[in-house]
Amino acid sequence: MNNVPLRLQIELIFLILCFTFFIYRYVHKRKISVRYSVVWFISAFAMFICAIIPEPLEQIAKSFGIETLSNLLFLGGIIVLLVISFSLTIIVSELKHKLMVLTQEFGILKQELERNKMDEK
Amino acid sequence: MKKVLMIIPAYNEEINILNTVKKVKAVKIPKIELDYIVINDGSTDRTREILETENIKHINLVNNLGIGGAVQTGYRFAKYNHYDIAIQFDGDGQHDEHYIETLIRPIIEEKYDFVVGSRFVGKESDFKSSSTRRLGIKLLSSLIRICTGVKIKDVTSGFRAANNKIINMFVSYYPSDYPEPETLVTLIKSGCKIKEVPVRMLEREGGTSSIRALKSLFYMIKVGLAIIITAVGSGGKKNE
Repeated sequence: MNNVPLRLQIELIFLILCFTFFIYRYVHKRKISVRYSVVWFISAFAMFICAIIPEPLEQIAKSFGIETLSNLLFLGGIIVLLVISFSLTIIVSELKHKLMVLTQEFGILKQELERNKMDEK
Repeated sequence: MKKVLMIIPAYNEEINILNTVKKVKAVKIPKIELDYIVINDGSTDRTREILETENIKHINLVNNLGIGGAVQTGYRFAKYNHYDIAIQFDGDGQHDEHYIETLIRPIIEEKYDFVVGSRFVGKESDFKSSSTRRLGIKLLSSLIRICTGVKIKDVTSGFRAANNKIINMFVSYYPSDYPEPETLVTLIKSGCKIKEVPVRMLEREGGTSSIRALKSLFYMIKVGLAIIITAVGSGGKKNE
């Protein structure tokens, strides 16, 4: 039944723990906002579960008609990455719009300020 | 008395900007209060220095926003300062200031909302541009006609006049890159009256064209997509 060797499991768990610690460090240093770290913590947790109990995954692969477990993992991984990068595109577009409005308003405000200064002189 | 604002976007235009502003300043139109504002789009050359020493009315943008963002700044300024009409006028000396009146008149006298200065209508123009560029413009023009049923020949012209209704529309949404064709579709979809008038455009007096050869494919795809999406959607989505 279990064709995932124990050694591989241990290696995977070690990698996932490193990954989790890595994300934690970035959040702790405030380089990633907590809001955007959630998705990474959830993926780390999901990977962790998959690494310690791979049996349900094999069942899922079978029921989908996927021959080998690794193919299911690739498929799942790619879908998750697509969703994440798509949501990043949305976030970047929103930020770009906000930055645009801010830059314009700031430019106009500064122009008014300088004109007022000139008028006072 | 109508208040008209000339929006002059300038990105690295140290060679042309002073001349352009001088030409615009010299224009006098009866019953029109003509004003101008230069939008310095985060230039990295001496543009800002020139604007300051020559005491030219300008807005400095701290980030380079691209032509769309710079022009939108001008529309924003026009809205806040209650201008009746805003005209886009390139900082690179490509547009001819003698046609400013031609652009304004249909808005004041014929109640048009938007006027496009066109290189391809009438006999005014002796504008030379590469055949690939003409082909590209023709393709976009056809695409707009298919999508909206309205024929506009010079869809990429950046020499355009807008009334205050459109100034407000442009403040709420203006595309950031290659904005001209897309905004035309937005305007047509929301039922604005658009007129194309013949103007003469000069050869570029320096600086670099924003449509470079290598970028033209991306340009066509982006603009084509924007036209189709805007045309299919109901009247263009508001961004603010």
